[in-house]
Amino acid sequence: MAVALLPGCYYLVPVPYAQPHPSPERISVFPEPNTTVNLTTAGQAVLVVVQDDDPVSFIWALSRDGYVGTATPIPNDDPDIQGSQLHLDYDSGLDQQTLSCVISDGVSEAVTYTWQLEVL
Amino acid sequence: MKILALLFLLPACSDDMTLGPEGFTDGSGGIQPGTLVVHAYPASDSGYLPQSFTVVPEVASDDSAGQPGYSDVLLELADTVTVSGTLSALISHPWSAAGAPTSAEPFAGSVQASRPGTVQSAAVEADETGFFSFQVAADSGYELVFLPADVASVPVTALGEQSFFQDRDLTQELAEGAPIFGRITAGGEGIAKAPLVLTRLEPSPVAASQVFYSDSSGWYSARAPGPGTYALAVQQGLSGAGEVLPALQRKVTVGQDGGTLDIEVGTLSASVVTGTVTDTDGEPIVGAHVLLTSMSLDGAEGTLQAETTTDDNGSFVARLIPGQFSVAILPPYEAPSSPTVMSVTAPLGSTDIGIVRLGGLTTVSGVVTLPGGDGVAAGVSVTATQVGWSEYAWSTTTGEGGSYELHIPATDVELLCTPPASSAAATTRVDVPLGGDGSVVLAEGTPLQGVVQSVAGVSSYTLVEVHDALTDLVLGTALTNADGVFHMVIDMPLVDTGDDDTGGTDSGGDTGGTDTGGADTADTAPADTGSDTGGTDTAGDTAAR
Repeated sequence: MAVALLPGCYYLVPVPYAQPHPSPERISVFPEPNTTVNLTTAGQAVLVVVQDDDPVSFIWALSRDGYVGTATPIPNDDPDIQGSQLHLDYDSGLDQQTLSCVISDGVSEAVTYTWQLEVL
Repeated sequence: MKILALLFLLPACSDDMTLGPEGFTDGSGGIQPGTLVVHAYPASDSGYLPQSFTVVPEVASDDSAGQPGYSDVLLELADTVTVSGTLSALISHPWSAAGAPTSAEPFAGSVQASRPGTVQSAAVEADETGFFSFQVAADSGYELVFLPADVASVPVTALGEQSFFQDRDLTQELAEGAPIFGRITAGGEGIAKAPLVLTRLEPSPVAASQVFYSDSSGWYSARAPGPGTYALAVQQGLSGAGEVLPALQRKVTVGQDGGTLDIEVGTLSASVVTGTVTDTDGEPIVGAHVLLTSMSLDGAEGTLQAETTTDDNGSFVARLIPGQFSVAILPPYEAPSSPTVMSVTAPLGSTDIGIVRLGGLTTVSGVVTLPGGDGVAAGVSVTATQVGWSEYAWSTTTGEGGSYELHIPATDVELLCTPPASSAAATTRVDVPLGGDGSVVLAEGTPLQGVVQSVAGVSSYTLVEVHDALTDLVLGTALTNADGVFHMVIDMPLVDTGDDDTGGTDSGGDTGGTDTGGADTADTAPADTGSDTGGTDTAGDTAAR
């Protein structure tokens, strides 16, 4: 479709450039993600700390059991440094399940860490 | 008021010290009040592993209140060492008391190392050649357990007081142990594939097996680590014939030649209890946990606890033994419903308890105020944890007015209020009964600050978790900053300052017999706990191990 321009002076309006919002950045994770965690009667602590200038949610879940409700936040004065921790007690039902933690700031792409659980 | 604080560098190289929190005593066998156990969790890509430290306070002589204090804590992460080896075992005939083992064969099973009372542990499976390898933080006092896959042929072997300060080879041949065998029956008939666990009670308690099973006729065989008193437990669950088994435990004495034990569990009649779980609107709840615990069993010995979950229709089926049961129903974490508990009679045959409608959520709210009610406390992390259920937790942060609100299932909760690290208030724990006021007055506390570092430098963004050594309660958690510095205020248990109080210095010195130097520094370290929170000024700090 042809558009006829009226005579006059024209200028281009600058298009605002949307800076891509980075995903939550890994600061401290334990144990190393994508590894097998051997669970014994000693139990296992799992923690994730990320940096993000938006409030971040940590969603923990097990592949068979669903959401894990026992995670607690890691208090920190720097609002950009946010963390969540979980303690897995010895439970034979955890054998061969995958633990995942989905970290989302609601804006950018979520980050997911996973651990394969093996009960010894 | 001047507070002297004292921390001790516990002898990292001592083999004769008592390890773990239980080792730091007041000289009369107990743990000195005010002793802290500090767990440090460095990032997994740091090359360092989680480690635990013990911090012992000192009470100033003019401190009538008995509040302990702490100087700056230096948590020095130990290097990571590798422990490996190849294990073989003398395989004896399962039923043989003194039968000659044929030959040593590769050990099949797992190897577990742990330092009691700490977060220092590791576990691996041995490969088909019996080779294993794991990493731990360099330290003494590890307990090592070799758990065989076939307990009928190889006993569990435990090695105490192991020191790993450098890479170490633990290749060895495991002893054959002493045989123990017998039969598991119900009404005189052998129970096929009954799950069993052997535990040594004396001379010292130790797990002597993982779960193993009786054969198709109910006979079982295991290798005990050696002479002693053992407990053989029938694990609740299903037998090979599909019978529901109660949990039952019996003692057996094992001599040099072994021991025998038969267990008769009684009558195993079948009972099936069904039901449906819904929310307040009558909608089925999927994935609710249903836990049935026997209060009494009809005709069978022992106890029975059965757990099941609701299906897509909210229905559950539990196979039991006839008797009286307590039934606890816990909705999944994400469901807007509250748990409940009821009593149910499980008769011979089947019974349907019908629809169990769970209640909705409730609100726990309140205002968090500074110590003494001196103003509201904003920015406080409030975590409510269910009491008496599955310890589900919900968290929020107080607003400018110090108020918070949580919509959670209707149960008693424990509130853990963690003020910002810049606050002078302590992490405060409060029990809130169902329907109770959730307002919290933060406690005054004792500053605790320090640095986590290693030979590689400071340990940034390391989780530091402080426990009371007496109760194991979490007193506070913090994350180190980029300089490896952490600080928090903890609500300390009071130290008994009675006449018989030996104080922190005595007990610390007693346990630190082979002091490597840190305690000497600590002896004269003034407690500059008020302002020295900087990450670089560690000159007056005291190392803790």
